[in-house]
Amino acid sequence: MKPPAFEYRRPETLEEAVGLLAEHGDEARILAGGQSLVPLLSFRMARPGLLIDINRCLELDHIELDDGRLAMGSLTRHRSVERLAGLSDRCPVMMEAVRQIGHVAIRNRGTVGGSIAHADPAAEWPLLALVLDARFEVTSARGTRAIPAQEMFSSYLQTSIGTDEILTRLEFPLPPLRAGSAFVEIARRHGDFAMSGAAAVIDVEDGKVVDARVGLMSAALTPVRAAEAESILIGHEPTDDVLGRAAAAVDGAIAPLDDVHASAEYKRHLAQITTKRALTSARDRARGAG
Amino acid sequence: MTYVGTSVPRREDHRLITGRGNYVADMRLSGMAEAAILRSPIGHGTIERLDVSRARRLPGVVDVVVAGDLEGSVDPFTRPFYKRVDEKLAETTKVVMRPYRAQVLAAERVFRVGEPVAVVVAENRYIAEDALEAIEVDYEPLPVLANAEDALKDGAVQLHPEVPGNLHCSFEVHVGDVDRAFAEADHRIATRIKIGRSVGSPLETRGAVADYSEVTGELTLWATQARPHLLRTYISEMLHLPEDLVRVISHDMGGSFGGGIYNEEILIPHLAMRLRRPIRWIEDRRENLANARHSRDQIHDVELSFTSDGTITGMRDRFLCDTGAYNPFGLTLPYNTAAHLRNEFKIDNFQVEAICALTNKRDNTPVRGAGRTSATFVIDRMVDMVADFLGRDPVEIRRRNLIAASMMPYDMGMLYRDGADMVYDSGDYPAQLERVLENIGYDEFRLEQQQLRAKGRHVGIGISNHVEGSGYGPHEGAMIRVDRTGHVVVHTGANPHGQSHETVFAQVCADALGVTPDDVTVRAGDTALIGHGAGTFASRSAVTAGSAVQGAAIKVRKKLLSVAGEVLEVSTEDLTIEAGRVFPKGVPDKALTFAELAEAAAPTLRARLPAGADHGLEATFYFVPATVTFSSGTHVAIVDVDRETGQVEVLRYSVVDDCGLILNPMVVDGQQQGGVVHGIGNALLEEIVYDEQGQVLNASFMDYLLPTASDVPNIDVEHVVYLSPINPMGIKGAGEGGAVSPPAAIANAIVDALKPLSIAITEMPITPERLWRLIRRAESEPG
Amino acid sequence: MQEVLLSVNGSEVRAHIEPRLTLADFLRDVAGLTGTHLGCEHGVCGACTVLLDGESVRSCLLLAVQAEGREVTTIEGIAGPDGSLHPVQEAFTSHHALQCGFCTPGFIMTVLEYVNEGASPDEEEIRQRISGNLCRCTGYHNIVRAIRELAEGGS
Repeated sequence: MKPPAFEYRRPETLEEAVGLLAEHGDEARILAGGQSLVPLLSFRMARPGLLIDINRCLELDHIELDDGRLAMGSLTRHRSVERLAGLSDRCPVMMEAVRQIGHVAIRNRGTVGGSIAHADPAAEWPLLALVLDARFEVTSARGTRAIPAQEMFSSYLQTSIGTDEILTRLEFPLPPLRAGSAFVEIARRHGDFAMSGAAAVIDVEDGKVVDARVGLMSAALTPVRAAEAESILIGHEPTDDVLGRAAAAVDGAIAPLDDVHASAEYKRHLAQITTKRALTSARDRARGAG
Repeated sequence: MTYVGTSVPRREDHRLITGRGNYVADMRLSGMAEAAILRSPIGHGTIERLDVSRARRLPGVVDVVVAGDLEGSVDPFTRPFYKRVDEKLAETTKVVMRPYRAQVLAAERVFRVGEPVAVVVAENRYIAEDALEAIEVDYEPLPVLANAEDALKDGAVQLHPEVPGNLHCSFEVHVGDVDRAFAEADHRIATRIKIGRSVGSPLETRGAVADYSEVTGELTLWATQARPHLLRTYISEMLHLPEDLVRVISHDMGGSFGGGIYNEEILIPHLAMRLRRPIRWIEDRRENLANARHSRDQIHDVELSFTSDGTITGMRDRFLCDTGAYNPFGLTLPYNTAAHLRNEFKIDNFQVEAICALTNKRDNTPVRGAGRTSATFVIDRMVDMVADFLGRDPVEIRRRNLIAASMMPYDMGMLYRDGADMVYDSGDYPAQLERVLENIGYDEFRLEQQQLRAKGRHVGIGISNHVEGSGYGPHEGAMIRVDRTGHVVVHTGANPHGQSHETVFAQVCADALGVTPDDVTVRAGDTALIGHGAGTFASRSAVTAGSAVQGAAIKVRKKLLSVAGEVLEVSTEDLTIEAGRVFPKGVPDKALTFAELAEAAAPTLRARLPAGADHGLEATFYFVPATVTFSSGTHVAIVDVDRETGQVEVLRYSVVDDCGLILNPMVVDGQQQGGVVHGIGNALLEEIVYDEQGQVLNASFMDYLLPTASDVPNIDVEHVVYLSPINPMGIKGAGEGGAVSPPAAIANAIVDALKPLSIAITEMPITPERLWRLIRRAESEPG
Repeated sequence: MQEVLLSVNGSEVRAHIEPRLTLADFLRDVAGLTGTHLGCEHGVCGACTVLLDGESVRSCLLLAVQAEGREVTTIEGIAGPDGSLHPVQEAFTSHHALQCGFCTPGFIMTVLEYVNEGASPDEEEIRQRISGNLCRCTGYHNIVRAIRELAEGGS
């Protein structure tokens, strides 16, 4: 399983990378962590004419955590996020999610930007981005523009990033400290792609839910937000019954597909379970239940 | 001090932990070119057009070879690996076996996805794969036989012309009076049990490096082959070379777990001869999962008759093997299943019919467990079903039906595959059961289970016992020689792929010769080392090679003593050997070293030999076992079931095993632990999935799921020792037993965990989705 | 073709290679270090694990050109200059944590990183940490024992 031949360029700066994309965008692929792209090359399922290796564009490798927000460059490795001091306390859902990405050797190389751009509906970062209403910046020779998470994932392995554009920056608004959050995955083995996964954030004030985010992975061609589930939660006391109804409501938001590990029917069932478990954990972690 | 029975650290380790092992893919020969195989992308069809001209012209391509190029130089396969079915067996069990021809490269027709159609040779694998894409092939698809039942139907497309109705082989076994047993029984249970298809998947993929010398006419092949001497025979026949000019080397080898002789192992040597360059072929994992031989894949329609007190009186089984497009192992797998169906139980009325049907899939052949895993799953599930039917604990039903120690040796009333009477030669199955129940704390668990159930947890405990016919013939040999420095070398045909032969057989030799294992070097995996060899598979090497090493060592010891007797002018009865020195008893300062004795036995005029003795301190001994010897084991698994999702966690696992005399406890425990984890994989994770078009849907490690460290618990192993009467040291095989019982133990534990809900597990693997569906069905049933 | 220069086990290796050559194949075929093994070539089995500037990576998922100017450590590079075994290697052999040896270099490099970071003696954590390395022979039982000893020994 050896990759087919391709041209290879390794820009040292973002500007150089952007220039290459402007000229070759249609037949080029960006190589960041390579943990998704290189297997595709080895299986010969991807055949780019040009590989643009951005691993030397160190201006894209930075991470800042402040009170309300986590900002990072697209080249930030999963492992850097995992090791970020204070993140576990500040945003448990993000830490829980990152720790389920493959294994350490994968996380040492794989990047957050790469995961977003690859847009696998079974991956953790796209779901996190959707649930936390992340904001992305993409840059091209034509300038820089912002893409909100809800507009990023257009279909299976497809984003709204143009062929001449490169994802440069990601911003994740963080839930308030008193909110509870959780990330629950059900996979065949630890580190495998999930058969079903859910992320939930519940912010409770005086015993009532004031904000709720519910999202699912491996449930459609893209990650999904379950708006109906969220509206069932908001304004109400997060009792087991309410959580149960919210979990049941995700069914309308999802369209899972059969694969060799799980049928669509089973995934539908699991979606309820993972949502319920994520909601329950999030609720139990929320401080403000009154 | 004696070394057999102690955990001597491994000689193999140093090179392996420093990255200096010599696996096939590590071979570097000057001028070596690399091969890649073009494989059929469809399950069944004819080759209408095959144009390799564009591929040939790519820079860096040496040649592209198709079936037509092999005509006259490479014969097809024409017979199963074991030349004959034992005549007595064939007659007694009404064997039907239909030989067919199988081309090394498909000429007109392909019968499975992955079938080799052409081979590219290039300067490296990258270019070779580029060239594969430049080959133009047009196929005309034919109907695909997607499963064994469809293959046997009237009007089904016929695969090999020599195999009418796609029925490749069949047999039937009759013991006692099964019709009467069923007529007279109080109860019967019948069910259909399906065993999923799996693959051995060692961490090393298959490979071969061939080098041919025009000058000497010698062909050397380094290959990932568990049976080097058998491969040598095939190469010599199919490539028309004298057998002694063919050398097959298999060292080091990254696991095996199954195999046989492969088309590629004939093709690559031919290419070396054709192209006058060393040729390397290393399979990638995607090829391996679809093209290394598969296993399991059986459907059993089985019934037990039993009395109200839980005594099993009869068993009837009719099973269908989906044998894939070829069946080079003939009866091996299905007969193993048939022979092991009654397990450790006293069931004297027994009938089994087996049919192997050809389909458009990979061959279904022995992989660790080799038919016994399937058999054990069938009987052990049914025993628990009997228990459930009668409302009793499965332990009670097992106790009632196990063959007692006082009944041993127990004649099973049928022939084993080698044609000998099948007799359980030694063991104490009830004691083994009690021991493992004690080790895992069965009674304590039952109490704990009640408490956990009250808290909404679903934990359960399940048992499986098994026997294992091990140490299969026809033979294994050892050549032992003391060299002029006094060092001892042992050559054997039992080539290891993880079984620690370099250490274990040094222990056996050391004890017999009165030296330490460090004074002994064991070499295996090279047909040039010894004239005849069978190889390492089927839990046989400790028994056969161990016995051969001891036998040869005893001969060398006699020689050492007799030469010393000549030199010292003392009777051999008055001599002893200690720490590599031979001396008259009580007179250690008159000792002769092995080096001195080697000199005394050397072929010179000064040789000091007894009359008629050959020169040299060397002996060869072949151990030819009368028949197999039966290991046995009892496994207990404790599981936790997530009732909402069907996920299963194995919390604890205990084994009590009888493998007779243990040569090296550390090594045997390792074999058991590895086997159990393989079995857990079969139970919960592993299944090769074909679609209706004969496409393999999961030929990658992302989709064919091997168990990882976080999928399994510690494996607690204890041994009981009942020496085998079949070989002088009392050894029994230990390589596969671990993999035989886990699916049954785990299935039984899952059923137990979900009670009072009544779940019928009759299929493996028990994937979360399958279990979820069973749970749902049980929940919706009234009562 | 591209010129590449990297350091492997402290020695410079310079070569002219195609950009598509994986780091695993570079190590095996160009640097001549065949201790790093290929088990799957799609990043799942971990047999090809090496250290890149001290961090574990799947060498089958890296192009050799990406290691330009970097320090690669392979199984051949961790014993002492006098041949003395690294404690991780010692632990593997003393606990019989290998049988066929094919997965072993990948395991040792993975465990080396874990030990350097501070391995936990908790079995569940250990098992999770090594769940990215497949073994078909040992059943992992003795590998876990070896890592526990390393973790408890505080090497």
